[in-house]
Amino acid sequence: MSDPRRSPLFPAIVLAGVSLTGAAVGCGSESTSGPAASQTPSAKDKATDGGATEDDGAAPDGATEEAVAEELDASCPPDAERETPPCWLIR
Amino acid sequence: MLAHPVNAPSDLPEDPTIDALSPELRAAIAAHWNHRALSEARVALAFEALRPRLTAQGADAAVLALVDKAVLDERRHSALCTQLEARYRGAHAAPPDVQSAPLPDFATGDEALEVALLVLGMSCINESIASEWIRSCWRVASAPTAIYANREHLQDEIDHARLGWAHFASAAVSSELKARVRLWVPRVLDANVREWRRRDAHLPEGGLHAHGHLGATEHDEVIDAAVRDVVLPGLALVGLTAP
Repeated sequence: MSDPRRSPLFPAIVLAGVSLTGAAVGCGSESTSGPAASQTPSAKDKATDGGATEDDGAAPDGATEEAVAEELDASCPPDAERETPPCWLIR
Repeated sequence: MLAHPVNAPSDLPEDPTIDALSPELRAAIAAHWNHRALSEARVALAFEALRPRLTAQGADAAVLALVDKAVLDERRHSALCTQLEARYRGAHAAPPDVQSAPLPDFATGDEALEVALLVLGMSCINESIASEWIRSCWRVASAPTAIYANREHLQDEIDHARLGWAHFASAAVSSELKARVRLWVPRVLDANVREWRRRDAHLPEGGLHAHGHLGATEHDEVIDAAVRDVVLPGLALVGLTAP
């Protein structure tokens, strides 16, 4: 079974992409507390840089791309070796 | 021979780890970047060809803006790949000579479906896999050049993948069209994954992590993870999998 929380690219790519145009038609996420929001990675997942945990933490209702980015920024410490934190994927 | 005779101008960082590689490995990695330069140039042309067809289908302005960006990004990526080839080869590298890159024809006789399938394959699937693959290359890399190159690619590839998801979430794609696209998802996905599994034969079987190259097994695992963790959940989210 796929688990979108296992890759930070799911929010970075899919949720962020959908948020660009999807609000008007829902695209399966009729409200901000719909599937898109409920699949947002939890802070614990993202702190592992890839979120490969089985944690069942859910993002708050109404999560947006901006909220996801803020949460990532807050939960991922800078990776000095990479010059940028893992969360730089969320722009 | 100069230590780093790259094709100017170059933003590539200084990287003594390249000089420490054997001539064989440098040649292998140079060949990889030569191949990548060609691929990136082709993708630029493909996005360029897709643009007017998306416009004719009433694509959202946000999607079209990302397509325009993708064309420019891919051209820049191709140039970067040529710089990387030169850096590893230790000699001048010529940019790829690509004049056209015909888009796939699914022979459906339905232009709306054709365009939707192109977006599905090129963006939602291919660019999402590419993003996960490059992210993995970036994570294993320790050579300054490899870190820089993968970061430069990844930050743009994410946008190229986003445009597909944005398109299928937009009002430009009706639920009726999505129903027709759904019938094609397995075939388009299989075709993409098959292509992705054809790992660059120039590279060592075990990869070369320091320079951002995965081993053969890791390569396949990353593709599987991209499909499992990004593509399939994305397809479900935008209504492209069976209820």
